[in-house]
Amino acid sequence: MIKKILIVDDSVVARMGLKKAIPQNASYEFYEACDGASGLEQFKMITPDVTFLDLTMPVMTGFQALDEIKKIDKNAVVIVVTADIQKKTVDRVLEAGALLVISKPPSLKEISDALEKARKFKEGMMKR
Amino acid sequence: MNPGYRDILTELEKDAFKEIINIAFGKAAASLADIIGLYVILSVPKVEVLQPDEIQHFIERELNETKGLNIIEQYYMGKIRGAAFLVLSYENSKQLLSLLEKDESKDSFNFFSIAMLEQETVTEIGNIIIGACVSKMAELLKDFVTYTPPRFIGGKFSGRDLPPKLFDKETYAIVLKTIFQFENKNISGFLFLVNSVESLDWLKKAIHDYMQHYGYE
Amino acid sequence: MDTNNIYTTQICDMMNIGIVVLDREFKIHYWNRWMELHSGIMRENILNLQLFDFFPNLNNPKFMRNCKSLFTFGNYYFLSQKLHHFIFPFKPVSASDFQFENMQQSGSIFPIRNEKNEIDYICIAVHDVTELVAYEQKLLEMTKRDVLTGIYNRRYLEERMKDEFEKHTRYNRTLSLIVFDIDHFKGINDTCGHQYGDYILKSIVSIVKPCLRTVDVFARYGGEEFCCLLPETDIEAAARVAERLKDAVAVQEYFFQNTLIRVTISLGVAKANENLRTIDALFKKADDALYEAKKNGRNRVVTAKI
Repeated sequence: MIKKILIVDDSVVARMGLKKAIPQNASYEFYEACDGASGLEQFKMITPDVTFLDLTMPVMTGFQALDEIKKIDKNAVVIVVTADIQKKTVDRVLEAGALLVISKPPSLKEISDALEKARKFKEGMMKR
Repeated sequence: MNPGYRDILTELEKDAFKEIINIAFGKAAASLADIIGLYVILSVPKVEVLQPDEIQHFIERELNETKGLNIIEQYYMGKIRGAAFLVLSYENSKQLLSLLEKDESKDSFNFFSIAMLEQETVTEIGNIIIGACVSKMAELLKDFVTYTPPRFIGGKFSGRDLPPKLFDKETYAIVLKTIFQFENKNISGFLFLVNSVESLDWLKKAIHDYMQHYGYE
Repeated sequence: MDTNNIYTTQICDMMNIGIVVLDREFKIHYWNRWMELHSGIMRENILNLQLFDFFPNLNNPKFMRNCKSLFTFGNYYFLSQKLHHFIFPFKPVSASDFQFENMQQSGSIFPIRNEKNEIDYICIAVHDVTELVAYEQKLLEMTKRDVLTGIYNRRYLEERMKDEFEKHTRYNRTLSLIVFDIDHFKGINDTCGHQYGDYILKSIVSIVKPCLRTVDVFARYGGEEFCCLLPETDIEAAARVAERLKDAVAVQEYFFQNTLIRVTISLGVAKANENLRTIDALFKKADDALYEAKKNGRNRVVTAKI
């Protein structure tokens, strides 16, 4: 069951775009943060079901934020949405515990597929 | 020049442009990794709207370097036009070359002076990096550009390195700066794209088209 | 690729530039008349075939890297004659260009787009710059040479010393230096006159030059002072060369107004090592050794201690 979605990205336009790309029929609650540090704070406060995370951000990068989030909850669902799609980056991020990586700009299909995968992962976790 | 020039782009437009640049450089880095075989770490790009006479000072301040620099300069012309400067310190240039030399034969250095070989190799790499970033930026704005041959400048950045006719008193400049690092963290440089905003209407439209295409508005 | 437009075909064939169009597999889609003339390959015999089958020299990482970049980014690749010398190995056009085995070329490669702005092909434009380069080199040579003796001058020596020293520090290549001067040269000038002195200088050069290799740099850096920069040479080998030079000069007989004159040279030898930070330090070491040689009686070689 996915209700709370946290979007962490320093670009207003990117956050707006991501929100718009998420299917509107579900009753999601959206939370936003504009850098890694405040993203981490939000995560601690609201414990979102899914976190969408950008990588290149000021104050604290997405890499660092991902590590910190995983320290708090190793099963946290983090979907990285980034402009940097070099193979090394993708490998690094998946190894650090991201569920999957989407390249920017994200398409509607990529987002809905990602949420579907997140849903299945959470259901899998619940069964344990 | 009207004093409100810094608002020629709204906050939202600036944010969108920054995001476009971020994506352009991200795609460029991925392709570069493929072509020159080096992993590139990108930083958050900085976007500033400036008057032509502020450009030199801005770049010098960002560089914060009084020692020797290797600068590769290239002009590009499309609907978006301007000058690109790739700046590497001498130390970084040498290290970059040693990273690349592993696949080039060492025989060539017998024919040329080392300085010349370094210069030509740095220029070639610069041509590829600049081409990568500028072309991806143009692509996202649905534009394509032509280039002048890359020029090598050693020493310091000077106002004379800016293309003369491009920045007359009436045009603004949108300067982009990004720091790039190669996988070996000791090698890094700056890339500046100094865009002349003659066709502001076109740029605004291109930015809005981009936002619409991706459902942002 | 439709290349049958009657006007563009003429333009492409009349231009004094080579034009080659390639696709992503490096197959040839256009080969203009300039290319036919200089390669001896007619277009019917090369169209749709692989570039590297005819020109394997282009199948190298650098060329591939830059062409790949062109197809991906749509930037340009500029090939300077200075670095590449040529793109296609063709014979030089005029007989006066015999100093070059191949036509010297500069070129550029740029992308060709279709109506959808996608890059379908790349185009190589080749310029023959042999004449220009020959002239440039001639001028350059003149600035490097000592007018009287024809060997290198001080300006060029200093350039090469810097360069060889850098190769030594960067790539750990051995480097040795011999400095020598003509003993009692002032006396010869005073007794026999400056014209005879000039003759002696030229003669000594003609004796020394054949004892050195083509990679060595032999230069006149002062009135009667000379320098031999020996790359890839160890100190023992350099000392042996110096001894040979000393003997070759000493054995020569000169006659001035029926009087036999013997001319000798004193030599100092030094080698570059980690303790020497700069090229000037190396030079000073050799010069100090030369001073020793003079002090100890002249007509001898002194080798600096490592």
